[in-house]
Amino acid sequence: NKNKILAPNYEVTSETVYSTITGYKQSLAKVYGSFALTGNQGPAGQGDIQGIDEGTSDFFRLLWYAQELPTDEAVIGWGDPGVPDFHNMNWSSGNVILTGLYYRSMYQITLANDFIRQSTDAEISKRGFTGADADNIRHFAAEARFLRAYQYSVLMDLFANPPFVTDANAVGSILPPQTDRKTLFTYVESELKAIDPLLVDPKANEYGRADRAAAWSLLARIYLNAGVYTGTQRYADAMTYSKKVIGAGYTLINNYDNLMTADNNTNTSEFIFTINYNGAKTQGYGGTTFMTHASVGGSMPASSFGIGGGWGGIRTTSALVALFPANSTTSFPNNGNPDTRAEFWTQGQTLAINDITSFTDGYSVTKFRNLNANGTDASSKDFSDVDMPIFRLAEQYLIYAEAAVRSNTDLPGALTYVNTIRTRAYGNTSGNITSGQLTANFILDERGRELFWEGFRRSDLIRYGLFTTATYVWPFKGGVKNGASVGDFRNLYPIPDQDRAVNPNLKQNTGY
Amino acid sequence: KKDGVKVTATPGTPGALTASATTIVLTSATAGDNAVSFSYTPTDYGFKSAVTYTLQIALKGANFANSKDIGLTAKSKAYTGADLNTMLLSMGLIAGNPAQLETRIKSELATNVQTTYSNVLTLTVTPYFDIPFYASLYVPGAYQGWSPATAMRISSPSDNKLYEGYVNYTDAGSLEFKYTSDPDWNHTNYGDAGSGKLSTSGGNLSVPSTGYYLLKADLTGNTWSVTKTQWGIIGDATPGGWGASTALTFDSATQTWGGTIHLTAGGFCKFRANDAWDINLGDNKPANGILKYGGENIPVTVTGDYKVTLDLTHPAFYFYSLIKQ
Amino acid sequence: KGKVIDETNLPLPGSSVSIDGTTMGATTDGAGNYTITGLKPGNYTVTAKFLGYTAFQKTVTVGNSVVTVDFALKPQNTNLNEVVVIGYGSAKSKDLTGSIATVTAKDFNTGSVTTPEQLIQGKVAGVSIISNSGAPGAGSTIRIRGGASVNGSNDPLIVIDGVPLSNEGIAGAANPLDMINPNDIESFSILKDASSAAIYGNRASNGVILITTKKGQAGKPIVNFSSLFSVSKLTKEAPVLNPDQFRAYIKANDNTTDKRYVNLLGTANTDWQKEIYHTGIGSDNNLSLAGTAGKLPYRVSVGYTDQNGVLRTSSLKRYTADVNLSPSLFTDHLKINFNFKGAQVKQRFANEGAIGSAVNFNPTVPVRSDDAKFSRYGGYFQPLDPDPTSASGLKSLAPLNPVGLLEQNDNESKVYRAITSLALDYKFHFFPDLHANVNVSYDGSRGTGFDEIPGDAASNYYSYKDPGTGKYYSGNDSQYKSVTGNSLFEGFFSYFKDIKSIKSHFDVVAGYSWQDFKNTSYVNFYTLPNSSFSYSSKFADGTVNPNSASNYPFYINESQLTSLYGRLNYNYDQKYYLTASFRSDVSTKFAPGIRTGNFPSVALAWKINNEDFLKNNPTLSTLKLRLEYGVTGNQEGIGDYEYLSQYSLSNSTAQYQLGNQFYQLYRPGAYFPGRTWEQTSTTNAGFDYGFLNDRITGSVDYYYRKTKNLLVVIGQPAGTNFGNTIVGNVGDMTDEGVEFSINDKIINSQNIGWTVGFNVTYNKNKITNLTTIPNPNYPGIATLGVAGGTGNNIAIDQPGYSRNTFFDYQQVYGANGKPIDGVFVDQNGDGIINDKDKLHDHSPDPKAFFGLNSDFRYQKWNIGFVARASLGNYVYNNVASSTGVQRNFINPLTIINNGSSDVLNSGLTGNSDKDVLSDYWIQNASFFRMDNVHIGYNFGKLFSGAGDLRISGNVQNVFIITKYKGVDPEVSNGLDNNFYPRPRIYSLGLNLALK
Ligand SMILES: [Ca+2]
Ligand SMILES: [Ca+2]
Repeated sequence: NKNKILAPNYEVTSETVYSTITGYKQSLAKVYGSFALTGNQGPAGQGDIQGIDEGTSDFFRLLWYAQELPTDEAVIGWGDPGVPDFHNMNWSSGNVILTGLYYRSMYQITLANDFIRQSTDAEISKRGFTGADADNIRHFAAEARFLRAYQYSVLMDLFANPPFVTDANAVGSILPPQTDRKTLFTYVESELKAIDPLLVDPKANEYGRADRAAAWSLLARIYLNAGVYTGTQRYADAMTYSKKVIGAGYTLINNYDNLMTADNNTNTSEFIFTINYNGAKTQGYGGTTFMTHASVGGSMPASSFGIGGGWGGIRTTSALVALFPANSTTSFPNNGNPDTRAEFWTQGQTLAINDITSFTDGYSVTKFRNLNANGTDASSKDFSDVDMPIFRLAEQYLIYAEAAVRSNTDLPGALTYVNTIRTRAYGNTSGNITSGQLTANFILDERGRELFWEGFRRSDLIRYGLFTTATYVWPFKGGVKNGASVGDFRNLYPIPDQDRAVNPNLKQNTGY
Repeated sequence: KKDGVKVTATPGTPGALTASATTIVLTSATAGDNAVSFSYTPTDYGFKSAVTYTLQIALKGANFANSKDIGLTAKSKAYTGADLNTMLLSMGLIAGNPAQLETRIKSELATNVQTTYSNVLTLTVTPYFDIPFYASLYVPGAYQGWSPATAMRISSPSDNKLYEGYVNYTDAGSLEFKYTSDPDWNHTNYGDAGSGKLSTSGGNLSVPSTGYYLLKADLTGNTWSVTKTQWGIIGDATPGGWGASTALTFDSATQTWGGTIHLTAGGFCKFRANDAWDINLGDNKPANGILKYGGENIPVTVTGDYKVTLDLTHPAFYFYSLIKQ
Repeated sequence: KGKVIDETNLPLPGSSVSIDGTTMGATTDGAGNYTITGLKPGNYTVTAKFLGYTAFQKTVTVGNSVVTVDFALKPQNTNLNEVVVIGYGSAKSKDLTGSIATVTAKDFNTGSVTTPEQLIQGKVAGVSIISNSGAPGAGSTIRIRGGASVNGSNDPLIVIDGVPLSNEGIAGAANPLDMINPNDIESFSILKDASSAAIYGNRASNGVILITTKKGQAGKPIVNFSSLFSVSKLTKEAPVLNPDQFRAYIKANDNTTDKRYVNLLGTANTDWQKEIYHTGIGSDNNLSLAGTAGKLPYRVSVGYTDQNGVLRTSSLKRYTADVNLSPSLFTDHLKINFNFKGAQVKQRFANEGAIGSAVNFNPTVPVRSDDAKFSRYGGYFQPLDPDPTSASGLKSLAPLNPVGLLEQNDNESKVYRAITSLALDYKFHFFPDLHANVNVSYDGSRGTGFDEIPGDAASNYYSYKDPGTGKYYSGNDSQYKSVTGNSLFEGFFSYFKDIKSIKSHFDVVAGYSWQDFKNTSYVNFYTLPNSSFSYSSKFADGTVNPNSASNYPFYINESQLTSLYGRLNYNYDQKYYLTASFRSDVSTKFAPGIRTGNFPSVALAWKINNEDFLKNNPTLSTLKLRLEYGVTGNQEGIGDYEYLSQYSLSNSTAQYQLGNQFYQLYRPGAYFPGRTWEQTSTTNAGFDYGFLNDRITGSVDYYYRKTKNLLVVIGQPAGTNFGNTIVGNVGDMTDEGVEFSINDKIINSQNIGWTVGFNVTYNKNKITNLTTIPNPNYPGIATLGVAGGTGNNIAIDQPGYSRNTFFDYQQVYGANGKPIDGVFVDQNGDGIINDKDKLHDHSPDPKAFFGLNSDFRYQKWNIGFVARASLGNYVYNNVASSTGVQRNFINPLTIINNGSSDVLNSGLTGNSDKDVLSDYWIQNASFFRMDNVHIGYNFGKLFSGAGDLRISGNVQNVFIITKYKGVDPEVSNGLDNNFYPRPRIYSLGLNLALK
């Protein structure tokens, strides 16, 4: 028995997995699928990330908590561990949500690293792949590098100074060193530029897979925030790359109401890169299942949102509502608002929030609905079909406009893009603005109107210097009903205690 | 390890609120300085507690009705002149007018525990106007030595390419000027193209004579104009009633128009130029001391002699004060 | 009177001598002597018994003078000089060097006992046995000296008649031990210290329990029939609001303008707990025949147990058969012991979700309703969705009708298990001191079961919508099957020698063992009409549930263990004892190259009472000092393949869409190539004592145990493994304890006897390190997930504290003594309350636990009790924390729920996320429990002396004294969340022996 290997019949080794192109695809699907799924069993049961409730361990739900709950766009009524810390802005380095998010991002990076190691030219030829198969594997590897760069950009934004591992480090070979925000910025930037020629042309890849436009979109996004990350503004670069995306043949879909619906996988004219969910085959309790269920409660009829029952958790503050013109009715979906993006449920809800744990305090948001655009049912009432765009054209318009205004270049172009968005929002040009109205602050508000609840707000407020300061307070900012400023160190999230306990290379971010 | 003894909260013993100053006169010059800082000692509930503290600021005598409530996450709160001023103006205080405020600290442990309040401090504060810097053209001219960097400006509050502002010309030999896009000569400079038109290559602009002029520019239509103004105050609160302006005099030290005028309670007043309604300034609703063309009548509630000041020195941001003598 | 001696003419103290057909009897003293008085003149059969020896009977005629009857007992089945069963052999109790406790049949707990370990609950110092629930056949959590692991197994190794059992469960069996009929058990030996257990190597760290079953005996065949009838009743309902209190509460707290919560109140008055519990009836019948046919000693027994649980729809039926043949051949040179134990257990499992639902469910609505709205759910009242367009009609996330949960679910299993073993013991013809032993056994089981939920059950109503057709499916029909086969081959030599000239006795064992554990589980293995297989469950209408498809038809897990072992027992003049043992295990659970583990032990004993200065001292009749040290291991709780790097395929509901196609994902698994066993070193020091010719006996032990390579959940540096935590071999933990036991035969005369036994155990567990590089700031690993909220944990494993130490927020109270809602102590004084303010609180483990038993006999009557107590154990009252807050009663999802009546005292809202982790819910659960009170009457001889009849009455779980506010303070892991309550059981039994 000294050397006998008793192997399970239900698991296989890497040699078996990577012996076929299908195996490669299924492994690549894991690298992508780690965005949408929480583990190997849907909806839950064999989680990837431990130490956090599995239903809460998916990428977008965690990102949404971290990016939306501490802002004017959202509050949550639940007392799940660590969750109220966000609107209270008193999270600690032991916060389980941040820990989960950090590990989810790092997990996807680890998967990507493994996949990249398995997809080198040496491995491809060793395993006998040639021709189209070999080309495909090379595309796969470039996409894995894109996903890794994306997750590092998320870590850069949230935690600034994460541990750093690449495919050069075999699993378990080193205790990862800590990188810093500036170095990481350079890495993400150089990776995205390096894979640009290796990726498939814009709109030429399969749905759900990254193409060159995805890489450009991410470059534009990090350049817009470069001042925050590195201290050096990169507005010209932001304009260059957003312009590349804009010029790649994308157009806004006609109806803003149909952005986040069950069949939004057809919104490929606007969506550049998406996380794909499916109520029958891609099940979990995070992602858009969370968005479509947690936003329904009170007197909202669940079936009108394509679900069996709401979870009654998330609403918005009056500060977001105030970005829009006044409502003229209380009827779903737009309450007679000229701006059709004002998708709020007001019946039985109060605009002001007295008790944050009460769902009916604060308007609820009806932007995410598990119904097809024509109102028919999705594939399941319990799990959502709605795909989550990570990049969509409207954001690129707004990146271009903001960079233009801030650098005072091509203001007419910026105005055109903003008005393109507003024309879609109003259904006509009545909401269009003049050049005089196109200020940086207007674009922040416009980002709120266009992109709310899509996971941008914290980064936006930080870029505008409004996240922690007294310059802008909103209801329950800092856990205080009228809003309070908090320490500037909260512009960064802390490196989780859990990783610092096992990786002595990691220093804590200042203030924690 | 715990000792197993229950921690029992006592009724809160409120902490003390102190302020670094109780009479505060704010000015734009000292806007960046620390105007006042409030400090408080924690409210004691008999255990290590996490208390929600709120600094409440209200008009004196209002018993903290409509107070400004500022959530606190530290044991002190400092205000720069600018921040405090913004808050005072938003409370309806009028710039240049001293007012009395009351402040205290509200301590809340939990919704079902009696809220406690600290001592009340009375402050006397005088806000100033927070002058916005609108998109502007610079007006370098002979009147100031042709230096764009130190020149008066004309501004466009809604950044719609329509600019205006007031410049006083005192020397008949120094009536020429230009508009520049930036506080230097290295960018776009506008001169006279004739027929009220502007040109980037034209000669100097000029006013016809000395006086206090309203200067305008429209960069969409590329036009410019100047209007000489002489200011007065009118209204049923003024000695001349609605029939005639009571003249104001120009104070070259402060570059403002003013005078001591007897005003009558229950009446209203407005400012107008050149004894005509073409250019008139009123207040907002509710009154905030900031003037706008064709604005609301300004109410007078107490009869008496007032020191009237009309300040048109900040392009497109004009304000006044009526301080009872 | 008389004397009992062994085959070497040494006295056998502690032998029992009884007069058949009476309750009279005596136990021999230290010199082997006994006296029985008070017999009327007549003919009697006198039997002398000693464990490990063949009982011997003599017929005597008693007149008026003293009759002397001496017995020379012969060892049973083996030539070894033994009495107490120890690992790979046996030893005389007086010669033991280790801390071993023995409980034999006469001391077993009585009454309705369906699972073997309950026979000795409370009887042994250092052994905590807590039944996991009140469900029929439910197992127990057995902890010997607290267990030695954190995330590995803490269960002791159980060896039945020399066959070490697998620790893995059997699908369909609530508890693998419940396949053993307690009536077939003769004795338990519990190896508590490392020196006695180390011979079991890498499975011995949590102690070893050796179970010996009954065998045939010499003499006339004896037929024994026993029958027991029992009635189980719920002792206490979880305290909830009664319907009127509930109405008042909802009315007082509904602040909505439309009174939407008040509107949900009904007019009925339903005690939901009463609806789900009933009186359980049970019977237990056993028939055995034992004797010797020619030269073949045999024992054959059959048993039938039928028990209904107090939770309706739960039941257990067990059929057992046991055959033991123990012939000797070649003039006793070859002894054969053949054993077959077969059992079939049919169980129906109640949906225990009904327990929590009964606490929660609105008490103002009826169980059933004729209203047409409810007909689609089988007529059970269910909370409905006010939205008329709702497809299922059910209110989402509302609790379901508890009675419906029970009645609309049929979850049954049928498990067969057979343990067949053959042991050969050959005494060499020309070298009789040497024995060769060969032991082969096969422990096979086959469990099948199904879980059926009808189409009208609300629990699975409209649970699936076909995305293509839009049609809804309901109900469930799933099946499972699991087959285990554990094979054992064992061969050992034993050699013993007395060398009188140097007053020395040697006893040496050396052996080899090979064991294979294999488990194959089949998932939903249906044959479909087109003769293909489906590995899916079905809906009630027979449609295959596509979401349940399994990637593999079956899953095989297998491991093997190969071992070499040896032991030397030596004593000099029966005064100085030495035991040394060694075991080397090779386990396939670990990577090649690091598979071998070596486990040595040594023990010394000094039997002081055999020294001249104490010899024959009647006051201090026994005094033996013991000192033991040993190293043991633990590989249980480690998966079979965890050292391998493997990819596993996600299931059909965890696919990802790329293009128009969905892909199942290949996930690389987190793994730990250096996976190894936990290693525990134990030092034990103790002494055994006896006073007044051993009328008072007992022992005192101190132990210190240190486990290293602890199996704990440890963080992985992000980016270094395919998982952020892994169960790794990192860390150290210590257990330190004292055990004390005393047994006192206070009165021991012919007509009257009274014995009292008492034991106390103090144990202190402490985790000392959990990281590769010791890190005092290690944040620890959260444990004990609680119900209420999502993802809350109430305890932590952290260096410096004991396992599962509660970790919570310190509640602040008002002057009225009630907790202030949402107010906690800001421990670190930073002005905010977050997870940095949690404090280490009490531990769920008791500081000390006690066992007390007493038997009193008067003529033909006997009466006794067994009681246990526990001190300093704390329980998180999860029932109260999750239901006893306003937010549960007035649920924001527009649901009204009942819940813990504690809400009336505490007034807590539950709105703060910290509420559920308040130390308010950590409650002192120290208790004194009267486990068992029994009374018996012995009719004596019946049927002209051919029969013995005894009847007995028994009450189990008689009462409990505790301050704990929940239903039952005895929760093994400290987390009380609606577990199946332990009933009070009244039973009446008769025992008839015929020969
Ligand atoms: Ca989808
Ligand atoms: Ca704190």
